[in-house]
Amino acid sequence: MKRILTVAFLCILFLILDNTLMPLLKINGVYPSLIFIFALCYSIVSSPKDAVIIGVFSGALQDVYFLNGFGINMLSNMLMCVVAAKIGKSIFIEKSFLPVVSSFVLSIVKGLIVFAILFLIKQYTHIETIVYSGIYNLIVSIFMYKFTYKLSQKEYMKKEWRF
Amino acid sequence: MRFVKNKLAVVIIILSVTFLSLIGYSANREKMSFVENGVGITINSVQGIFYDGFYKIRDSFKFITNFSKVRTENEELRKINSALQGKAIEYDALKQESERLRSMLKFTEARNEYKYIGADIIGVSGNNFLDGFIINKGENKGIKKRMIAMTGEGLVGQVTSVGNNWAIVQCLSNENIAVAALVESTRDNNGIVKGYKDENNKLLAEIQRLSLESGIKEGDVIVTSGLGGIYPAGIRIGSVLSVHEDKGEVMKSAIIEPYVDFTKLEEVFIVVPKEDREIKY
Repeated sequence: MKRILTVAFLCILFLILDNTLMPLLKINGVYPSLIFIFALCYSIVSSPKDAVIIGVFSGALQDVYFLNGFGINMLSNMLMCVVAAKIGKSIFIEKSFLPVVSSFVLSIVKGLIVFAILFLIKQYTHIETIVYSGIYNLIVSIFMYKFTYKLSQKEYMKKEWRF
Repeated sequence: MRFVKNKLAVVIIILSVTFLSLIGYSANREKMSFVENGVGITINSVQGIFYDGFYKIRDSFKFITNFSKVRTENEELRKINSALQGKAIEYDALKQESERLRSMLKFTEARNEYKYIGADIIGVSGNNFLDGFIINKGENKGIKKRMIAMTGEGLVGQVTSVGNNWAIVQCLSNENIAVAALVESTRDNNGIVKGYKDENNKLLAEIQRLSLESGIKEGDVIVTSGLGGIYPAGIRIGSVLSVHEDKGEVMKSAIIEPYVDFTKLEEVFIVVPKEDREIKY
């Protein structure tokens, strides 16, 4: 129970920071997405089932404040988190190099998915921002992964979900 | 069927299909669902405080780094202030006079078919992909989807989704917003303004579909033309930075620098028509 509450609280906190603090730290017109990076890092250190749940949950939170089309972030976050969990299975999660690189690649893939879906519902965006935000996300994920890894080593975080 | 036995894969596929249909359904709806609305209202209460706080911190940070500049600015402002005070007294007298004259002539104001609702910005939306703002007024004040947001400086954007007491405004800098516009110097009114980003990711706008004969030039002022009749004519949009000719499509287009700085907005006005009718562009 404490585990679910911790993750949910962190998600909401990162969402609020995404909407308020991050735009003030814009570089070249882009800013990182803390909640997405957190979901990815958390998926790497946990099982695919958890990854689906956190992907959908973080996506739903992002979608509330997304402009058009509820579900875009839910879909893309879920897929990315599942891939992240699969990656986490096959690497040493103690070292942070591969998780950081994979979260960079996944955030670019997520950008492409969002771009494609938005294109299909006739909302046009600028594709270059995906690369820039990917690089920014890479920098954030270096710190975020260390934080998430330490969090996952805590005793109350190790229990399985019960429902 | 080994595949069906893999429960996780089945769940993922079912969820994917659900989300895709949800996207299709929600892309064109008029009002957001009560779940989103409720979650939004709850989070907004905290978010508004955060946004104000961070904004203040940034402002005070800027104050410290620009201290010497602030001091010279202060002296200049003091001079201007004394000059303006004199003018303000004059203005009051003139204003009273004009009010009297207006009531005498039963002057019908050109734009009184619209109401203006002030709203504070409480957050940024769109995660990099789209530029938008979360504002703290919604359906309870009569705001509906596709209404126009502006500030004193000029046009900001369009409302794209509405909750009970909050709404999301999409900025002019997105390519998805089209506004009928007019070149003030030449009175060409067949332009359409859309969002544009230059190679430095600076948020600009572009006016398209002008005829090749148009005499648009750098520095021209672009205003809304009011075609379509939903929002007032004459809201300022921006000034022309550069003009391009497209012989293939037989049109001229021009890059516009908006008067509104989309990164420094704190409050906007939503333009609400008093006549209740379908809003459609």
